Amino acid sequence: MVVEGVHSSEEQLDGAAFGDFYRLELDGQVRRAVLLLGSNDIASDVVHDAFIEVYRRWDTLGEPGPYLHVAVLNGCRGVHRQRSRQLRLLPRLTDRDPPSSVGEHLDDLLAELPFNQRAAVVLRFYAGLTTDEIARELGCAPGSVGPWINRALAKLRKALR
Amino acid sequence: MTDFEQQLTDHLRERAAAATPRFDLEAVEQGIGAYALVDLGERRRRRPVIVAMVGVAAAVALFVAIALVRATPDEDDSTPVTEPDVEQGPVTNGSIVTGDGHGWPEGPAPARPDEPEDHEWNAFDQDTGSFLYVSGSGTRVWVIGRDRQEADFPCAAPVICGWTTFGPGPDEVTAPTDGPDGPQSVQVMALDGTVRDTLDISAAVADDAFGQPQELSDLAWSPDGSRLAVGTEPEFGCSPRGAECEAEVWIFDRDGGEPQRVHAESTPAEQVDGQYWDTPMLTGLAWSPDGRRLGLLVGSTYSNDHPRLLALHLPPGEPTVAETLHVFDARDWRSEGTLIPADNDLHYAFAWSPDGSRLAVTSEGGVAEIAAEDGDVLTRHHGFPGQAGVHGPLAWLPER
Repeated sequence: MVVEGVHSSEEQLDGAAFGDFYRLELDGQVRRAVLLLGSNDIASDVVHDAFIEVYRRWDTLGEPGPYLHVAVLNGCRGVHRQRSRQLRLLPRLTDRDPPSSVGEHLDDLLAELPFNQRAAVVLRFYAGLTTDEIARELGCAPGSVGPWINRALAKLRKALR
Repeated sequence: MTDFEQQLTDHLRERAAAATPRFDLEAVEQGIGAYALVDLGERRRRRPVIVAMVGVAAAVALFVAIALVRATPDEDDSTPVTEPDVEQGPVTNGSIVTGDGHGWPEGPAPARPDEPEDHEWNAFDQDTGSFLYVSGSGTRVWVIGRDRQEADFPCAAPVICGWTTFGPGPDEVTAPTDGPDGPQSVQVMALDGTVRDTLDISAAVADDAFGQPQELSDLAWSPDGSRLAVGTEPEFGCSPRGAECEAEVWIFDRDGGEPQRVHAESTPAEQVDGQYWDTPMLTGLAWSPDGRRLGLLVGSTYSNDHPRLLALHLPPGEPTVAETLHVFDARDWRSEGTLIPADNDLHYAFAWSPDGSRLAVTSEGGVAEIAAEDGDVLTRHHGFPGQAGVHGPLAWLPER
């Protein structure tokens, strides 16, 4: 299973201008970044900056797609580190009502996961990537992916019981 | 795919579909970064001066960023260890291999199961040189020795197969069993999956000293199989508001006896906004070959800039001594030349040398050997061409 727009084919880009690449990739990249960060605005910022990196290297990048994927993931990782305190504290700092649906509860639980666990879950269950593909995108050993997913699923399952 | 995984997939798709991408090709092509996009509409109306405005905005943003960084109090007094000048050299005590199949000295990667199914390297037995793999679906376990496959058996709930590890005996493996309140026990299994023994670890996952429930984070048998080290973390972080909590290390004797809590990594001395505590994390339990020290990685959830590699000295009948051997620096994880892990989550790997005198630790540019005695960086082993970095897990194989 591959989600449209998340993994574009290089053939589609052959000879295409940057604008075509941008239009092809934007939606998928922002959607994935939203799942990793939980915020549409922050995700849009990260993807925007990643596109700028690609644009600056457009003439030298043989495969802009994978470069963009990694740039977005690294951007999300950086934001997660810098803003994790605010993002994770937000539910505690505000006297909001408890989650009213399983979906809201899942959102909260996903936000509590360490970045690599969350990214591995998103890449497996949203983007449909294999273990090796996830490892390549996250820049980690394939052996790391399974434990991250298992641990995240165990935590989510337990909290939703 | 299980019902829960399908539910999760549906949820992620629903959330992704609700995203509203911001189309701004013009700003991308002009190199206007996200932080400079504020009031971009206004700037576009003043297109003749846009270049100057962007320059000013960038300068102001840079100035503010620098001022903020300088104004932010240091959250951790620990000084990261950086030894960029240490020369690289050969591994003189066996060979170091990584989970992605590389090694120093270069040689054949450890054998993996000859199966199409995804599998992950879960554990390494330094005595035998065997690797334990678990299928990506968590339903099958393989043990691959240096010369042959030694085990291949199915694994099913309530056993949490993804946490299977070697020990306590040379022909045994151990995995936690799940329950309504999380793992409360571990099962010792033969290499065909037959259960030989069950060990109660509920003492470790009971509430901590602050009343916070704990959950299993890692487990490892001592080399002689007499003691099981169990790591725990706060199950739901430090909640409710303002509560303290801790991650813990417990030792259970194979032959019974009172479990001992030998280390507690309490919440860092940092309060967030004056009232909210950080949450400690603990993983990577690995015994030294002589069974006298226990290595582990500790960090925290909010300010994980300086995860640490600790060695717990566990003299029988005496208090535990915790020694920090290495402080990773995750603040600038792209920097070259320093001992910086490739990930900024708490997933830094290390491995004891066969004689216990050194440890290998992952770093972005390769692997470094540090002294087990004091953490001094002794040798570096650089990464491989075409690799973004070298990543854990690590194993240090004795010479054949």
